[in-house]
Amino acid sequence: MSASLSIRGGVKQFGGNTALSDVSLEVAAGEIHAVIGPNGAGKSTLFSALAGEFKLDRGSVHLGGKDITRHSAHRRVRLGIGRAFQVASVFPAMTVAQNVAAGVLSERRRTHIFWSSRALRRARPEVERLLEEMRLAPFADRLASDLSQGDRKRLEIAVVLALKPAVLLLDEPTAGMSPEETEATTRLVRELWRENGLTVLLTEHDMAVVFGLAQKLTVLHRGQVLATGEPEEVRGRSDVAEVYLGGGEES
Amino acid sequence: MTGFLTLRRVAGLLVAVLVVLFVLALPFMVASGDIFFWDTVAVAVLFATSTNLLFGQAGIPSFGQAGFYAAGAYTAALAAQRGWPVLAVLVLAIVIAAALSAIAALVAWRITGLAFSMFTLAVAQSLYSFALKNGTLGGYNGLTGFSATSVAGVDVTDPGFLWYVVVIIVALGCFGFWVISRSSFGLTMRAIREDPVRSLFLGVNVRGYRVLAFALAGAGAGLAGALSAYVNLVVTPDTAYWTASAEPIIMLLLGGMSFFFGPAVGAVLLTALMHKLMNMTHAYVLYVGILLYLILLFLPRGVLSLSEVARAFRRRLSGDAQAVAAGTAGERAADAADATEQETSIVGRGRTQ
Amino acid sequence: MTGLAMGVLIFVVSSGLTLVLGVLRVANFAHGGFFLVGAYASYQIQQHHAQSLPVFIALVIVAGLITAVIGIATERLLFRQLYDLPEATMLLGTYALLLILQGAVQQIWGFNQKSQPEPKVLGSSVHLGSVEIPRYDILLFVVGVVVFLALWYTTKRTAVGRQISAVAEDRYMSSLLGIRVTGVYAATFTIGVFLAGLGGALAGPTLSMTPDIALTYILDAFAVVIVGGFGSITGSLVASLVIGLLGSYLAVYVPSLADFALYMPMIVILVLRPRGLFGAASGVRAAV
Repeated sequence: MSASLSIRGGVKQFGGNTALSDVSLEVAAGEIHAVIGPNGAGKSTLFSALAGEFKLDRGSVHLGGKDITRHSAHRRVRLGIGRAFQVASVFPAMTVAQNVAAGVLSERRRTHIFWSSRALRRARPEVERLLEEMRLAPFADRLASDLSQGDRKRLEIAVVLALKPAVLLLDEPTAGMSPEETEATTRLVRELWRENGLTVLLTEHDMAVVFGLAQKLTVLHRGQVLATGEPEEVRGRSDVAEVYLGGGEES
Repeated sequence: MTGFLTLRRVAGLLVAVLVVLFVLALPFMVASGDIFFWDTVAVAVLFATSTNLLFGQAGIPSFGQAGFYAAGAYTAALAAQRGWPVLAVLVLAIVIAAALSAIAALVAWRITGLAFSMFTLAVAQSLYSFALKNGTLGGYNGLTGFSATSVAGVDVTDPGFLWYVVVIIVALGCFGFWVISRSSFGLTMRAIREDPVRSLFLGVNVRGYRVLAFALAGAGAGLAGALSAYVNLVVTPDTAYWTASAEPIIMLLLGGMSFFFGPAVGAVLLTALMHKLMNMTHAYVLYVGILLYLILLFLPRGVLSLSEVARAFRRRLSGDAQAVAAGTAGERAADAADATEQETSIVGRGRTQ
Repeated sequence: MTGLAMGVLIFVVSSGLTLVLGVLRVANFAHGGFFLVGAYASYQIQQHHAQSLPVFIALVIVAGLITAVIGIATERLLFRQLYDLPEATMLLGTYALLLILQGAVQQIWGFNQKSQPEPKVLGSSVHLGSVEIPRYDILLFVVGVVVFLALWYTTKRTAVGRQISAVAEDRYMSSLLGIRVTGVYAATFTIGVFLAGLGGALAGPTLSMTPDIALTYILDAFAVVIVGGFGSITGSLVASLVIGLLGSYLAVYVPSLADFALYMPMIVILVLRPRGLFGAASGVRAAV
């Protein structure tokens, strides 16, 4: 089931650099929400703050109405935040099946069992189901490092799905992809969103993907929220165009 | 592939049978002084295997396992002096060593990387220092005046019977670690080793798992230490000295830390080697150092990886480009994994069993 | 020996270690081996005669230089191969080198305790109020100050020194700025080894010299480096003095805890402030 995710008044400084400056963002349950902005705008920092990779200097994070500001990253995963990274992070020297199994075991709270391999065996049907869903079944016993970049991204999604997340954080899901792959990934994200009833928050540089998927859009610039609203509405704003054509880098 | 009976399986079974025969026959083959040597080999096998839970499986370099080994040894000596039965003593040693390990890992909750390795060193040295300075623990000369007379009703004053008991306990201990490596915890630890950040985002409390891993490894070290007390009939502080922590590490490197039996193979090889060296020259550390250096440079994945290394070498020699490209999945995984910077891991990946 | 003198000796040894750690990012266990070489080299060239003070100083420096030469050879032949390996493997590699150095010394000089007398002219102690200070300790204080000033001057004022600081701060940027990083590595390593050898030569008269001293001093040095902070000479100085004083205080009043002088500050710092008193925040790369 999906859940809402929000950050209110988030501030984060690294040394002398203010990465996030009073950032507030509300993602409703079941919504697909995209965050865009030039490089250095603070998108990755925002995601890391939401995922709990570090503590905010100020502000709060809420999941499904609950205040999770104090919770560590792994706690937030348990509460339903699933994160996929820009460069697909999988476990290279483990097989595809083992990667997914790790996720399944975690969701079932069986990762600590050291006295038997029963939980591992019991996880197999679920692992196979997920592999089928992500069309990775033929690779089940291959090492994750043997996979192509695209397959690795799908593997990462499979692992994250195994966690039965309520919210999916996707960090540039189509980065470095060819047009066909981008198309396929966009379709995949929409499918997953529909079938699993997820809330999806993604960052992207590819505007086609953004406008094809997002129901709501937020623009970040220099660590601040510049605009937020429906895609067509935000697209038309002059200050947004300014940011993309004027200052900052473009993709 | 002929189903169940692959070459590897047959070879493995053969080795297992030979080992069992060797164990059974030993007391009849050698003098009792030599049985003592093999007792120490068996204990080293357990110690090295327990240490590999941290190094090879969890990717946590701990340079202080000897501290927990000594804790087990001293516990055993103290309890045995008071007439406790052997099995109870072993259980106590396991509990105490595991507890100390867990406490150490808890104290080091926030510490990572090189600082953590230094911390493990400091812990072992603290224990060494404590054993050295403390009167109840016998100070420099350690503790004596105990021995194993019977285990669960079986008379073990005969070295041959003691040998059997030691081997059985070592085998049970190693079996325990085998089960752990195949369990879901084992899988989780491998994940943590490969990518601690990703594991965190899998919902795994990485630091907590480090504590559990330490407790389990410590339990094994303590058991090995307790056994060594009964074998040597004396326990001295230098079992905790930091250089004693290096021995199991060299063993697991020598055998190959990515193989479950790597540490065992390494233990046998190193103990035999050091035994020979110590008889030949007093300056044997020179050769141990050279050996370690050469292993790190040329055979970083250990002796058991020789078959893979040989296969790769043959492929390269035959110039078969396609075969080289196909490679063994394990090899390429090793290369790929080595290329990614892993702070807590030592060279040695590939085996997915 | 007073606590301060002990601190000075540890400082000389650990300053070399902290330099190597800060610049090359290598925890060099072999440092203890070079300490050992320095001590034995000094013993050898002094032929266990008590020398006059100036000769003693000169020979101690010579011993340091000999060690440095051996260090350069070791770096070229053996150490360099280890750079590309993962961190923990490199640690073990330096440990292997420590064993090799110790074994070599054992092979050449044997296991028996050697003793190197202090230089002539010194002799008995000076009295400062109620405290008795051996004259050798005074020599050590002076040496300590000189070494600290020399290091401070070198790192802040000379070209080589500033390059070393730059590489310690940011290796990548430094190479972009045209600094020859391998050259800096070699220079740092040489200085570090020289200091280890110098420390060994100075420590010789205060110890019962056996090949085991390679192991004893290295742990002290590591503890100091951790407490003081990787790469910080000032940190090394402060930590050495603290640990030296704490150690001698405990040795007198609570002997059974003397070694804890070493481990307690180390553990406390690791828990409360892992980068050390004066260490850079970026010093230790954080894993999870």
